[in-house]
Amino acid sequence: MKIANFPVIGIVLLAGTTLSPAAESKTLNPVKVPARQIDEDPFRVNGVVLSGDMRGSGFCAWNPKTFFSAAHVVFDDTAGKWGEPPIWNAKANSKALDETKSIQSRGYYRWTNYSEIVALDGNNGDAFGRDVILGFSFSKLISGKPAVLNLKGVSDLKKPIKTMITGYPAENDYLGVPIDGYYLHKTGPGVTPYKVSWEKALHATLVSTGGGNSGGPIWTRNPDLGWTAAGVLVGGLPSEATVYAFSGDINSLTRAVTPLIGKNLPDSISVGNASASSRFYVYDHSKVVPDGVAKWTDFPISVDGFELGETVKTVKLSFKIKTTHQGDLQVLLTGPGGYGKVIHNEEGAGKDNLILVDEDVSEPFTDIDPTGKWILRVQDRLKGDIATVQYVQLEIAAEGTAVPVP
Amino acid sequence: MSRSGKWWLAAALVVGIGVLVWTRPGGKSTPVVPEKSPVPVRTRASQPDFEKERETSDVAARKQIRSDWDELMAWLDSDPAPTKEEIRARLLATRAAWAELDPQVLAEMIRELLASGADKETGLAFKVGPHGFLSGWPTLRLFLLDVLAGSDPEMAAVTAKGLLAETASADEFAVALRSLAREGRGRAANEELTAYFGQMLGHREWGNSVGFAEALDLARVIGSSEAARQLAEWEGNPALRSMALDEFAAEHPEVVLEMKDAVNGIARANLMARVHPDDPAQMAVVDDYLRSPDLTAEEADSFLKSFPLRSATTGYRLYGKTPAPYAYDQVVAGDRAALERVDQWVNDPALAKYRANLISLQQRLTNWTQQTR
Repeated sequence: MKIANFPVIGIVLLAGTTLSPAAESKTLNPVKVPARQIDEDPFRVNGVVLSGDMRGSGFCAWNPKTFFSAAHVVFDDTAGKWGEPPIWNAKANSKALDETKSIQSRGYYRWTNYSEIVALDGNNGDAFGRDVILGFSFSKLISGKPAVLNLKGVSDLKKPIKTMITGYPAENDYLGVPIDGYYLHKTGPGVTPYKVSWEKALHATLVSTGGGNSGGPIWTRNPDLGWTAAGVLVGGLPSEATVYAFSGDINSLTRAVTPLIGKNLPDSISVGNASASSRFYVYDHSKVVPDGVAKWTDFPISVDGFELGETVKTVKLSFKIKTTHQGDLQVLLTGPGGYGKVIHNEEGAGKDNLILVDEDVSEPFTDIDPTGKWILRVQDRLKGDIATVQYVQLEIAAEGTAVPVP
Repeated sequence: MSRSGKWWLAAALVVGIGVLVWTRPGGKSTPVVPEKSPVPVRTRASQPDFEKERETSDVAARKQIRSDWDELMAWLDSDPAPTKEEIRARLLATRAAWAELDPQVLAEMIRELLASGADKETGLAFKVGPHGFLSGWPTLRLFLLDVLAGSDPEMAAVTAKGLLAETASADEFAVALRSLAREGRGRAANEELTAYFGQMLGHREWGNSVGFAEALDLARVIGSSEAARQLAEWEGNPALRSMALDEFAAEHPEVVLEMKDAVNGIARANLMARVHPDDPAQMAVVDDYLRSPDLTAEEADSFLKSFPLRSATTGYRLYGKTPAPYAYDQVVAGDRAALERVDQWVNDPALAKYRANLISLQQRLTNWTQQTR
């Protein structure tokens, strides 16, 4: 680490009051990030999030116009109030916030469901189980690229790997010491495996943060990508931390926000591993479909090669069915687990040959695990015209390790 | 024998031998096409016996489903009891395996299993996953209903109608209703869905059921003022009602305005803040609302701090698509229209009591419109 090359006096001056207690503590404690590192990864994507009287942390990730934070920072659950959209303060690192650099976000989407409310009422749940939001703005929130998301955070954080939490605590929870101003702190890096608390909420001991740090990222180290955001800090006690860990669900959240962040979004690009890349699968045997039989004939395609945790982003279907009467045919595509889409339902009357080329059939399959058996099912329901399936091709793109970085 | 006589004799022998070979029991004819021909000639006669193949595979599929089911029932009672993770993994594997079977056979078998009344609790929480299918099944019957909806939506809809009339389980009611509510084959008319929605809301004892809670999404899917009214007048969990009304308003703001008086306070402020400011009719209602003498300071404050409200909740939903109610162009146009109206409100003496909030709102809208230039 660069910091080791500096004289001790320099570290003390830069680190301020929290360094010494942290060094003595048996838990990981928040330590001020040296000012000269603020522009480096992953610190440069952090920001203070203000919402009414609430102060929290956040980080710009996935897109330069979006930031993640904790829902309880921006939404008043008790009153059910939406309030003003949160204000983003990029790379704050001073006694007071520079309001001229603040950006009023346009809003946020909160990832939740109805069952969460019932579970909480019955004390069966955990307020942190779905405590994540994705804020959006019409302006870029940082210069440079946003952080890369680790959508396998929910599994990676349970492993004995190096993690680090960053953000803007207003106190050191473990020591009970207030932290003045808006200075970026880091807790870790350290190796502290997390355990499941409730659904995607993971919990660890021996990790301390502090009020105001909520909404900050927990980072995992990827050998190719550097620090990747694996979740959001959502709660803690002295010497304990709870995070909302990222998984494929986050793809649904980003997909919902996508229409809000303007036109001309860049296409997905591959960021390491197989993320957001397409794979092709072909059924290339010619096979006759029984004539005039209201039963399905299956054309199975085994899909593999995707990493554990990756989920479907897009599915494109191509096939050729030789026939002299399209109106005889019903065609259904089934994905692993039974997700399905009707592709053709006896339309086309007496037209020849039913041919599809790169038809986007993604909608019913997004967010599912692509690995397993996909089946094109065909029925020739009327007698008299023989239908032959000549080939079937699936092009599947999945997201997982990291989502696209513009 | 003349030459022509010999020729006829030879011809007759060839034909005779040929007939003998052709008709001899167990005899083999010389193949016309070599066994490993690069281009086999396929004729109707050379097709496999589809009917026999299908019967065999249908029998095998039925046997597999029955066997999987019996084993599942026994396994849930085994000692030591399987963990929740193991149960979830096994149900997912069963669903994946069944999805590869003939959907009609699977649907028929599931109907039989449902009709038998057999069931077991799994210990899993009711959980909605992608595309409204469950990723947590508290009972095996719910698991069956979930699989049926995927394998044969039309048969699932028929099954649902029977089940909706007789079940005492809120979770089953909610899942059965999904087959009538989701887009595509089996979708019932809005009037029918509204009637089921009212029937469901009438079960006060279902208030703590997770399935019931997730079923509140039905109002958004129906999208009618009657569904919104039923929801607004429902006297159950206020947090559930608020979320359901909010998601309804995000997608159907014009409908919500029709029944704005059915709610009040902050809940009403949230709904009013979701109007589309570039729709003069909607803005006229908002204008009246802001000038209403009945509007409390707290409600007005809540409205003016969030208007035009474009934050939202989203997630997997039982009936409708994952909510994504807003888009860039629409929000930008709305903000511009809102700013024009707010400029007037700021200078309107009748709204002087809200001046501080209005100026703050004006500033926000100005920032946003500048950001989009």
